[in-house]
Amino acid sequence: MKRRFVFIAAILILCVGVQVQAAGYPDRPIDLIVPWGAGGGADQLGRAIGPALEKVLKVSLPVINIPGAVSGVGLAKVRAARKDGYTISVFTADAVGADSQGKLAVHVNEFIPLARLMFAPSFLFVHYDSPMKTFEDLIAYTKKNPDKLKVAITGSGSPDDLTVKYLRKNGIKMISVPYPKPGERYASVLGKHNELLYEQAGDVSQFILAKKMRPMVVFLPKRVESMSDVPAIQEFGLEIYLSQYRGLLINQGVPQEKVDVLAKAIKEAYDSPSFQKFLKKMYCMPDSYMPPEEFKKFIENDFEAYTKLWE
Amino acid sequence: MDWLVTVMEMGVKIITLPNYFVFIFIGLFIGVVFGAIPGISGLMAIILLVPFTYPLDIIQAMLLLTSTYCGGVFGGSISSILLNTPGAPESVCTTFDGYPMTRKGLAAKALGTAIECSAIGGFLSAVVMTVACAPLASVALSFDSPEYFALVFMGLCVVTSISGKSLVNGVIALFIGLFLASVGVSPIQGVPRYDLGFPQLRAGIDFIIVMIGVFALGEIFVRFETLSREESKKIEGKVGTNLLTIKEFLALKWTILRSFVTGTFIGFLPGAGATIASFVSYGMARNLSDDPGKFGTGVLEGVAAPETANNAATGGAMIPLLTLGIPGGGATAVMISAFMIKGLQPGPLVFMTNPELIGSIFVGMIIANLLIIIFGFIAVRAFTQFLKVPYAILASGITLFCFLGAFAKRNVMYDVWVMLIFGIIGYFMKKYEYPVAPLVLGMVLGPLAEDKFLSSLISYQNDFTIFFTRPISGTMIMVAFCFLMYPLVMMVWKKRRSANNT
Amino acid sequence: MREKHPRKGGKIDGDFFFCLALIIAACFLLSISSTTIKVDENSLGPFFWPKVILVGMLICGAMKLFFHLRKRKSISEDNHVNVPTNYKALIFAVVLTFGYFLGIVLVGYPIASLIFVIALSYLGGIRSIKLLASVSVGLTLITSILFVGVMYISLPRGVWIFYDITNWFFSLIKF
Repeated sequence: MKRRFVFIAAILILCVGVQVQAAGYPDRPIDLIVPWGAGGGADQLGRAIGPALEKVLKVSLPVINIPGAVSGVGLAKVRAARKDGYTISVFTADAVGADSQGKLAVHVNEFIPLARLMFAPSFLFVHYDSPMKTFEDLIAYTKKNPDKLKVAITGSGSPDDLTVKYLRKNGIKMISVPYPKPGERYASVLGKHNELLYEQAGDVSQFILAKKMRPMVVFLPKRVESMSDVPAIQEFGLEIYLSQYRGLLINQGVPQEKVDVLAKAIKEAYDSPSFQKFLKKMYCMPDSYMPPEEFKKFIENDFEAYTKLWE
Repeated sequence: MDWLVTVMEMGVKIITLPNYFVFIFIGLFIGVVFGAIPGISGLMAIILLVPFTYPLDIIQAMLLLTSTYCGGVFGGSISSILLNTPGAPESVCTTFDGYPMTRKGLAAKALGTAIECSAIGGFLSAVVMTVACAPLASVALSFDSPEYFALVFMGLCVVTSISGKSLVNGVIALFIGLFLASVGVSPIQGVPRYDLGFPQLRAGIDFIIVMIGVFALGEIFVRFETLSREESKKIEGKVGTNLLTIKEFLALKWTILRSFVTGTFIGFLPGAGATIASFVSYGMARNLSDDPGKFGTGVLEGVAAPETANNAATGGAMIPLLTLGIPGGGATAVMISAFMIKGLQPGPLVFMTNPELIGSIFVGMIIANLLIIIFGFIAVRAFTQFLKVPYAILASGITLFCFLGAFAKRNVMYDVWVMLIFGIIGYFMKKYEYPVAPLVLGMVLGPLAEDKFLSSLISYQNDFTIFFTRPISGTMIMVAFCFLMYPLVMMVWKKRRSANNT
Repeated sequence: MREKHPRKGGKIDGDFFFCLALIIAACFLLSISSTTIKVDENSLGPFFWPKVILVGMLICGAMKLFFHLRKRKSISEDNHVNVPTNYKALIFAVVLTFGYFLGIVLVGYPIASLIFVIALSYLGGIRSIKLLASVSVGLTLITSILFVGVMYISLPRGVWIFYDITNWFFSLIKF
């Protein structure tokens, strides 16, 4: 028994000896919180930006999934963390949407945005074998058969739901069927239980490439370069552009110089080839990156837009 | 078929390379150990392993994760049988007959049965996955919300088989579980329910936390109550593993076969998973047995059925993941993120672009399930040593892992407090003969049931008959009613017969 | 507790109170299941499902209460003749576990675990100092290395000076 203690003590002393006190920020691992479950878009972003940042900052960034309450649980954890710059978090447009209805446990303006990293427009997809091929077909069909088509969406109150409601107001009458789990949402369209799907292209790229789904329309003022054959919604005289964006943020009160260090490192990580490859695979807009101040304004504008839509 | 042969050849070629084969070993080891530690599950092992797959290539990563998955599902049976504390909901059923066997001094037999049945179930389902991946995937797609609801309903009706002495107590526990699952933001409308003003309650109550509480902590409290008299109660009989004799195996063959079919079938439906599979096959084994009364007192069928089914679900769950890129449960959802890191999207395309990957996964899972036999024996030998440890030390270790398991889920202390509260609730439930398993069953299946029920009605304009008129869902609802009615009918029939005799 | 109720031999005991509590709780929860929330025209609303469950709970509770009061012979009599319970050990175990979780928040995981393992094992009858020390140090070290060092889970570090002590300890075991 005694020998074991000596052994442990020896290891401890050895560790102290090896320990090098590094000066400057950061000198120990930074917790990278993902306020959503494993496997989703936010999680993928966390797991892509983490290793990329690791190379720049030279410390590890373990990803911690804290799902719950439309990312409110995770963000509350960030809010309560020490203001020493060792806790950063992924955040998504959903948080802004929820906050605008007062449904978020914290407020988005209580954080310092670090960067917008992904900006992806939303599409309306249809099963590849469907007789409806274009958005014109869809309009014609709904005119004749209102409330016959079903759209798979994430949940009520989401941007998806708002978009379907907007279309409904403009004469394109469809029913939205909520599926909180992305997998079930796609399966319901692949199994032809629902005709349409509202989604970002990156999340269903494998179905597009395998000719299982067909993009019908993109909810943007103009067409996307990589998918130039997909019409933009504005071409039909409709104006609704609720795009999904994901970025990083940090608790308010963290010293400005630390924020600057992080913001610079994030920009570098964003430009790294591995992260660019990831963005391309997710069908993100080429100008996804947005520096802190600009992103802050962008969020504020988006917040107002949501508030208006709810009225 | 030609395609399958070429793919399998590629797979075998890769797997036999030592720097690939070793990951099956590592994965199984980690899976079995994590699965066997109370309070921590194989799923958690998979989540925690993902960062370690960064430097590996995708085949190595997938071999590691799939064998961790297979090992973890088996490993859960060890703590269920020895300590009455399942690490994951899919091994809850194994406690019903596994733990009584341990108390009767038959731990060796129970563990041996668990090893063999897990290996058989897993192996057969891996073979089915390999041969019939594509056709089964299209069957999975034909399921719409009403079918899922029918399936979940079937899972809920098993409550009549797992309630032990008092059926009413079991049903009450089930309802409490279902209600607790509905606390928090509602799945469809996003409206907060029953949060009583607490923002934490709005996030809902996690069933893993509740399960760790009622089973692991509750068990510790129950044991402490009688500790001084018990001292360090040793397991009577030889601790180790005891294989089934040929005779016993033949007696179990229909149970195993039935559970394997149930497990694979329920496993491949996205979102349903191993938990329903193990509960339903336990219920089936009990209802179809000659003497349902002896279930719950430690019978071999009661261990064989859930263990075959939950391991059979592993192969099943891989089918929608590989063919459609749709995760069937927690473990496969994490695997998708491992794919993504490598720049791959699982789904129909991978079959064309990366046949060597698919082949390796197929071959890897078949081999991993066979290796469970070897690993099972080693692990069981190691873990049964813990039974010789005085219970007080064991209990403090279990509490540490309960904390770690509850905390690591979301990294918030709140979950740990919830676990403690449910530990105390679990103690009272055990003391007053309210079975805890229906509570967990309700909490696991509650959100799924509500979600599927409401979305069926939204899809079909509030037409309640939809559950009965669609052929697949109608059949399953019928089976569910059989589950529900069978014990009642048996009770009445027995009463009448005994009345006639006297 | 064991006094007989005059009516037909049914007893007022823990089970009775539990049923009563269940019924009251179900009624209360039903009353706060508000229906005023505006929902989409073709959905049943968020409170439909929980209401179904609560009504089920109510029925079960009422049924049990009914049978309980009508029961002629009490079966619980022979159930309670089993081993006398050691409430002291039980209450200590619960309090210790509570203290442990509280301690984790205040002094951090490693220190709290060290103390808890010793305390609970001592309560369970282990008196060998060597065993207590080795088990507590071993368990704390192994779990810390596994979860903090290998898996990068940030376990609670406590407050005040304990934060720095725990932080120092964690920095030692991180690879």
